[in-house]
Formats: sequence, C-alpha cells, structure tokens
Amino acid sequence: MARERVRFSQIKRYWPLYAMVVPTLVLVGLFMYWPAVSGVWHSFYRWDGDEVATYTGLQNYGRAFTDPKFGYAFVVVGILFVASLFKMIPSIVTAVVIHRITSDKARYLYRLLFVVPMVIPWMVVLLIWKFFYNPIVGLLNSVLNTTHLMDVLVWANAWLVKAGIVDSAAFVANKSPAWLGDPDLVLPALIFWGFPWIGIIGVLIYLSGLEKIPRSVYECAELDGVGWFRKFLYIELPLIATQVRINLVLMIIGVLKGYGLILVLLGDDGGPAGRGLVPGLYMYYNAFIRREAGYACAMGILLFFLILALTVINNKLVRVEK
Amino acid sequence: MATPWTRLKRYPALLLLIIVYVAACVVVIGNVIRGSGGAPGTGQKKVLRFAHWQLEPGIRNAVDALIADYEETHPDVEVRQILIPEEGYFRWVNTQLIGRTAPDMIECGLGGPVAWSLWPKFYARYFLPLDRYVEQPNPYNKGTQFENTPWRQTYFDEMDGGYEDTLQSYYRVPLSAFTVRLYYNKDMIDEVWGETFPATYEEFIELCEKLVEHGEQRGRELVPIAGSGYNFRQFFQTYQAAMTAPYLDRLDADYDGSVSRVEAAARLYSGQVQMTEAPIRANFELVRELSDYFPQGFMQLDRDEAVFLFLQGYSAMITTGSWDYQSLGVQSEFQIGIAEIPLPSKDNPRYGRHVAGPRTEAGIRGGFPMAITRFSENAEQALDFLQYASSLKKNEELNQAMYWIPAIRDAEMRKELKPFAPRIEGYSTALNYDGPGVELAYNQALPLYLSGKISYEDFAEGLYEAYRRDAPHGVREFIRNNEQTLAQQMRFAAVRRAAIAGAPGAEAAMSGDSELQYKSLIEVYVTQVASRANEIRVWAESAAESAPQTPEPE
Amino acid sequence: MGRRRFAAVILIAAAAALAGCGKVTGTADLNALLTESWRAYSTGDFDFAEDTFRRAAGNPDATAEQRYGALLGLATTYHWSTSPDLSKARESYLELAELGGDQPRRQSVLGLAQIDLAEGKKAEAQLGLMQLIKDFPDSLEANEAALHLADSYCDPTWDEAQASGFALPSDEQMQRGIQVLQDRLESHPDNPLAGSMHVMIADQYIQLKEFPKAVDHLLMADKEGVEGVLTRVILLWRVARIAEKELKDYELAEQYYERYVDEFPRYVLIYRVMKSLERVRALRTAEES
Repeated sequence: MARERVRFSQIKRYWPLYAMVVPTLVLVGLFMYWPAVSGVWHSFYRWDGDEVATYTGLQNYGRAFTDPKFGYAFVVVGILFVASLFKMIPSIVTAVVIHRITSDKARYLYRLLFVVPMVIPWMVVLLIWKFFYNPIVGLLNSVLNTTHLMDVLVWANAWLVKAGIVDSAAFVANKSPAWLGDPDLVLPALIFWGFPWIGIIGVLIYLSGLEKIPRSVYECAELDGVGWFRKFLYIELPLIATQVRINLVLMIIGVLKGYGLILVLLGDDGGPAGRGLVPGLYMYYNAFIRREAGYACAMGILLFFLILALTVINNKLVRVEK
Repeated sequence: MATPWTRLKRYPALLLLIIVYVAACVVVIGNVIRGSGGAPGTGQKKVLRFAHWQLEPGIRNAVDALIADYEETHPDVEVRQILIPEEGYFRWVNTQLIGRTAPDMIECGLGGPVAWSLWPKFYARYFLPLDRYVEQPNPYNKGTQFENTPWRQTYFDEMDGGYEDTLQSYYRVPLSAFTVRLYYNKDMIDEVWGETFPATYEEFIELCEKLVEHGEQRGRELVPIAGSGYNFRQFFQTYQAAMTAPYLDRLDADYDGSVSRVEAAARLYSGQVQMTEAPIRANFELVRELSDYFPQGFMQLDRDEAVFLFLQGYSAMITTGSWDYQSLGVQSEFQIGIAEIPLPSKDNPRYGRHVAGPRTEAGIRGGFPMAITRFSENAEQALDFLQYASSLKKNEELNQAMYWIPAIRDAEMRKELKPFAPRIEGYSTALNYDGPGVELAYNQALPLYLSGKISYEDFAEGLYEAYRRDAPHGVREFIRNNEQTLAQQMRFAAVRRAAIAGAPGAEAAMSGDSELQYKSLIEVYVTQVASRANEIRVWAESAAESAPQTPEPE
Repeated sequence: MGRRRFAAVILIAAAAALAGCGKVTGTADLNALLTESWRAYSTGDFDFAEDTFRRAAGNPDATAEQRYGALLGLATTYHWSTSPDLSKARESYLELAELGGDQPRRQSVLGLAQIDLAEGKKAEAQLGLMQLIKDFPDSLEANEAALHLADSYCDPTWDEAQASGFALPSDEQMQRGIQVLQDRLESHPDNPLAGSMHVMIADQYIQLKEFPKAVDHLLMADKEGVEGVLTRVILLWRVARIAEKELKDYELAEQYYERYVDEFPRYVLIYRVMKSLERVRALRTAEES
C-alpha cells in the first residue's frame, strides 16, 4: 500500500495525529532543546548558575581560547579518545565469537552471561574499580604482586629511567603504585579502566548486524577456502560497518563530553597535576565549584562544535558499502 | 486452551519482572504511608516527622529513645524518624521542599559545593525563622539553672550554629557539637610504642617508623596513618594554624582580626609574601615529611577508603571527627584511643621556632542542626519537640546516648569523649595558600609535592605563576560575588525601613523589633562595605607594586 | 461525539495543569495582602511580591496609605530582588514621589539615589542624597543617606583601565566622605545610626593610617552602642590592637582586651586576646617601673 502524504492543510481531518505528537514535542523541547538554548544564551553572560547574569559578549569565548587548562583538557581527552578507538575492538571480536558459536543454546547462554552484569548500576561499577585501584588493598596491586608482574614493572621502569626515556619512577620496589594518585599512572589507569573493554551494548549492536548476514555467504566463503580471519575481515566487518559507525559516533560524543568516570575516580580537580582533567570535568568545575556557569556554557558550545566536526568527519570517512 | 498463567509461564523473565515490580510498589506505598503519618483516620495524634542523614550506628536508637520520652509526656503526639543516606540527602530535601511534602523537621547543611548557595534560599523560602523564640527561655529548662535564661544563651556557642548570616535570622536548632581528633589502634600502638601516645611531633614520627618496621616484620604492608584527601586536610590545617599564626599582625591591614582570602592572595600575588619564607616552607616541609607515612597517592583516596584501612588493621591511625566515635568503636575489633595531633616541640631544630601554638576550637558552632518547615501543619509542636531536645537534661541524655558532644552549656558529655572537648587555647589560620582563582592549580600541584615528584622550589614557583596568571580574574570574581551579600543586607534593611516608615503590612510581615533590626543591618552593612574596600585597596596596592615597570627613557 | 469528548479531556487537562499556577491568597483585606507581599519579598519570592504589590497599588479601593505601601513595596521589590530591574524600580519610585507627602518623597529620593549609585551615576546620586539630607534633616532616611553619601566618596570603583581592575579614592575624596558623616553627627549626634557612622569614619581613618582619629571614633561608636555581635567583637579587637600596636596606649589596650575576654570568651581570637593581655600588662608594668 502506497504511503499517503498528510498535508498540513488537512490538519482538520488528521488533528488527532498532531495532538498525539504534541506532548512528546513539548517535553523534548522543554528538557532537551530549552537547556541547550539557555546554554547558548548564557554563554554570553557572566552567570552564577542561578539568578545573577551580566552580559559580557564574547568575553567567555575569548577566555576559553586562551585558557591553558582548557587546552590541556583537550590533550587528555585526545589521548583517551585514541585509546577508546582501540577499546572498541574487543566488543567487535566478542560479537563475532558469539555469532560463530554453532549451538543456539550456547549462543543464548553466552549472550545472557554478558547481559546480566548490566543490572549493576554504573556508579557501583565505578566504585568497585576505584577500590581495585586502591594502592594498599586494591585487587590490581594484589594481582601484580602475586604474579610477580610488579617486579617486571619495577625493573622495566628503572631501565626506562636509566635510558632517559622517562623522568620518574612510578613503579618502585616495596612501594605500592598509586594508580589514581601518581600523575604518571593516572592516564594509564583511565585507559585500563573497564578491562577487558567488552561493552555489552556494543556487542549486542554488532550481534544484531552479524545476524543479518545470510548463511549462504558463509557457505560460499567456506567453499572458496576462506579462513576465519579473512571471513572476519572481508565479510563480517564490512557488513557491520553501519553498526561500527553508530558506535563510533556514540563513542566520540561519550568520550569528548563525558567526565562522570573521572569525577568519581579522581575528584573534581582531575587528580594529581590535573592529569585527568577533561573538558567536561573542567566545565563542571567552573559551573559548580567556581560558580562561573556562563564560562562553562561557552566551553560547552565550543565542545559541541568540536563533536559536530568529528561526527561529520566520521560520517565521511567511515563509508558503508552495501 | 492456554490460560493467561500458562502463557505467562513461557516468559519467566517477564513474570519475574511483574512480581518484583508489584513487591516494590507494595514496599514503597507502605513507606509513603508510614512516612506521611499513617493512613488518614488512623488516630487523633499529631504526627511529627524528623528527617536527618545520620546513619552512624547508635544515632537512630538514641533519637528513638528521646522520642519515646517525649511521647510519654505528650500522648497526643507521635514523632517519626526519617533516615536518608548522605549521598542523596540534598536532592531528597530539594524535591520534598519544592513538592511541599517535606517533613516537619529537617537536618540542614549538607550538599557540597552545589548546595552551599542554595541552603540560604531554602531557609528564606521554606523554613520558619526562630528569632522570636530564641530570646525566650526554653520552657523545658524549668527547674534548672537556665530557667530564666534565653534559649539561645543556653548554648555553648550562643546558638551561633543556628544563625544564618546571610538572612540575619535564626533558622536552626543545633543539637550537638563536633571536634576533630586523631584516633589510633590502641592495641597496636601499645604493642609497638607503649601506653602513652606521643606528645610531640618528633615522637610521632618515631612511632610511624616503628609501625613501618612492625609491618615489615609481620610481612604485611602497614601504613601508619590512614590518609585520604579528606583526612589529610585535618593534619594540614592543624599545622597551618600553628605555623602561620604570626602572619595575622603582618597581613591584617584593617585590624579586623582576620586575614581574608583576598588580603592573602594580594600579598602572594605581588611577592610581598613568598612561599619560600621560613614559616611557610616549614609548614609544607613538615606535611611532606608526614606524607611518607600515608598511603601512596592518598590525596585521591576517599574518606571511606581511609576508614577501611584503619578498621582492617592496615593503618594504625586516622583523623576524623567526634561524629565517628561510636561508628568506629562499633566496627573495630580493637580498642580505640584518642589523641591530639602532636605539634613539633620548641626544641625541634627544623620546625620548633615556627610553631606558635595549637589550632583553636573556640568559635566552633553547634552541629546536627534541625530546621522547621514553614508549611508544616504542626510547626508549633515541632518547635516544642526541638526545645525538648535542646533542654539541658534531654540534650545531655541524647548526646550521651549518641556518643556525641552536647550543644548545651553545662550538659555533661560521656567521659570517653573528654578528649574531644573543644580546645579554646590556640590560633586560627592566618594565611590561606589557595587564593581566589588559584584553588585548582593549588589542588593539582599539592599532591605532586607531597608525593615527592617535584621539589618545594618547583611547587612554590608553580604556585606563584598560578597567582600571576589566575589571581587577577579570581579576585575580581570573588569581590563581585561578595557584592551580592552587600545587596542582601540592603534588601533586608529596606523592608525594615519600610516598616519604620509606616508602610502597611511591613511590620506585621517581619519578626523582631524593626528599629533594632534596622540598626543591626546597617551596622553589618557598614562592616562589610569597609571589608570590601579594604580588600580592594590591598589588592590594588599589591597589583600596582608588582606591575611591570616601564623602563625609564634613556 | 468523539471529538467533543477529546476536546473536553484536553480542556480538563489544561485546567488541571494551570490550576497550580495561580496563587490564591484568600484575603479580601488589602492590609493582609500587603503583609503577605512583604513576607514574600523577605523570603525571596519576588515574583509573587511584585504581582501582589502591583495589584494592591492598582486597587481602586486602596487608601492613600495602602497605595503608598504598595508602591513602596513594588519599587523595593524591583530594586532589591536578586535579578533587579532598576528601570522599573526607578519608575515606581517616581510614581511614589507623585503621591505627595514627606514620607513617600523621602523613600523615593533615597531609592532613586541608590539606583543612581548602582548604575554608576555617582554625581546624580550624590546630589540626590545631599538634597534628601537638606530637605528632611531629622528623618531616618537622612541618616542612611549620609552613610551612602560618605560611602560614595570613599568607595573604590571598578576600573578596567587599572592593572588591578579598581580605582581607589584619593585621600581628599576620603576626607570629604568623612566630613559628610562628621557634619551629620554634629547636627544629629544621637541619631539611631550614629554608631555606624562612627564606625565608618574609623574605617576610613584606618585606611588613611590616621590611627589616633580612628580609635577616637571607635570609642565614640562604642559609647553610642553597637548592636551586632559581629560588629562589636571587631570593634573591641580593633581598639585594643591599634592602641597596642600603633598608639602604644597600653592602658587602653588592656581595657579593651579585658572587655573582649569578658564579653566574648568563646570567640576565635580569645587565646590571642589573652596572650595580648598578658603582654600588654607586662609592658605597662615595665613602663611604670
């Protein structure tokens, strides 16, 4: 049946349809678009986040461009972004492995096992990881000590210091490394967080893509003697490119604007030497600690444009060939 | 034909979800009914609700005992405690107040940086001012030495803990007081050191060394002091007060008895005060030395992590407040001792000459403050209950049960808490290092210095650069924000003036004597205007002094 | 029929949604309305205060006194709310003056002068304040006007051309401010704000480093009586400290340190005061011997 186009002039007849959409539009406008508009508006003001607002023009933007801490925050988030690109790989691999399980029951079971931990609130996960990183009683240091990997790290660190490759020793004999308290270990700790980096949402999205691949494609590949890796590289990966692109966009947005993880693990100042200070956290600090919400809004607008630019680049570079 | 039950059994997850949801609804509805004073028509009693965040062991039972006593003498009243965890407390209060469903009595003050500016607005909008009551005697002090004493004067702090400076009114009824001390694992310290806890800093360092050795001998990592950013601050502030006391005379330009953040920042900005001066350097070097006995990277650890280390025996000492006395006692498997944070003796060659004295606890204000919601149907009854709780006899009983310090003068605290008695002798901090605009740089650099990653010279230089870069904007913002407070004074003065000028309704709308209040408000306004002018003058003179000099023409 | 029912549902829903928007005061009495308005103002509910003051001001049954109260309330709300609307406040103050009579005119002139100060129109503000003092010399508003006038001379101002961002008043300007208050104290020595005036003069002398004069005025403020605990505690400390450090008047210092110990035994400086008292007593003994 051909779809009928509803013209606005026919509103008298179709007004219930419009009426049903109105509440959602109002709520989306109020809770999503209005705060954004307010943010843009207040970025031109000296605003304390409450009632006091004085127009300052482009002063906040000028300050953001010359603020060394804001610039440094982009360096930090850049490093985390590159690391996050690599951290996408385990989810893809996991989805492929689950997809290739021949038994339906086993496939269901593994999917269930991966999904069950989702019920744990994210904050609880963060706090558990914070405990893992505890220098005295944390699991990470315990494992490293028990497996004598700590000795390897101490030796390697000493060698790197001697060779002049690094300045300071984060791993010293008989001293538990402070993963969140040592400026040299903060970024590695943030990158390592979430190990083994299997994001279940990503896995499910990739699985949904993989399941659309017709069986016949695999049969042809087997007949041609294609190995498991080439199957992945030339069949599965291209056919889930749409999903990869979606996740990449979500990852860009998440990493660039996210700060909750760092706030919980390192505090509102981004940890020792501000090594974990990302743009989102710096915005939070200015808005709620310094109470310079207008400046935080200006930083937010600049961040928005950066995310938009990266999303456009992503859409152009990651092509989906059907 | 398949029945609905048969169909539902095919979807076990959905069934589970429905069961859990129904159970949750039943529990929530039950809580709501219980929390709002029972279902309608369940009795003639007035129901008062008392909300707080003190989940420490023993507090709930102590408050329950107080309530039981009160209900015995007031059979027409029922009081219910509502306990909300600290993490969500402010948000809960916020929504309850806005929704006009808040309990009759609410504990105030919590919420962190976001909330600090919102509480005064809450007081103004949602809570009952108590000015007219605080000058009258507490009826529950009849038969005691306070029978004719105004309620507020029965407090150890004259009810300063209940006074809201920004609104110039009393809004809170404090029920306790708190001080901070060093808690130690008595069993371990007795074994390693002996019965008498170190009285001086030198002995304290020796004890820490012995504890480290003790740990090595047992093959277990033992960190002498359970540190975190939170606990460390208590140490730091003790030594900061002790070693910066002489700066008051040097830096207090307007003789108001304190060195404001701007006064300090201006001098650090211009270099009139240098971070390399002997007392300041000694202050930081002392805490750097002490940091060796804290866990690695302690500045990033939480308070809870520090408590865990202490209770699990990984650390022998921790600093925290008297509010934790009972909870630590209940959770520990060892005896706990209480001590003062030891200061360097006068003979200490590095630090001794810089120590003026301990940190004073004069000026602490009453805590566990309860406010009465304006729209409570039983506001008068709630006031009566709080007067009961803050009477001499009952406040003593309540705090003895809670293992806290009473807020009322002459009320006896438990003998175990004697070490927590506020210390009047001592000095307040005369020099703050993290001036307006520089806080972030300071907080980021301090852990680097304390962990030994950078030298003191690098730390001092970095801080000076941060002052040069960030203080101008920070000081301007600080002064601009303070101008809001000036306007606040004028806002109240205007309504008092209107009342004196005979504007209908103005006098009836306010409590207290308008002429007296007006005079008081103008006095405070004049004081704040002078303070602002002084800060600006000090800042301007410092900025001028350190402005780049234009080279003389040849 | 379905359409009508749907429309009825929408209407009821809208009514339910909007029902909470209006505030029903339940008071027919205008005085009670004004009381509620002032209460709303004092608790920070400025929108409600503005709305009710405006209604009261426009009420045809309002007496002259009630209209005065309503206009004053409206002007005050516009002026001192956390997001002030100074142009509307100015209009309301001007309307207040049109009511005639001394009371409204005094409030109006004072309010307009304060607005001028807030907008940086110092000269206009100073003219207004001087006129108020001249026209209504015995009024409460004239006392407050004197304080604001003095402050306008002595107060530093924002000036981005300066390295610090502020321009400091010259010594002459500060002396002028001091003179305003001294004239007022001379003509009205027992005015209710005399204590504050002496404190303000003392503050200026401290900035000018003329400590003997500063102490004289602090002593006069003490004699006039200072109500606020915060102000009194600073006053006692200041007299004692300046007497000890700047004037070397150990007798005066001892007297005021003793008073501090008596009146404020639990204030934060108590230990310093006690140590200072010991020191000053020793110095006096040394002096006398």
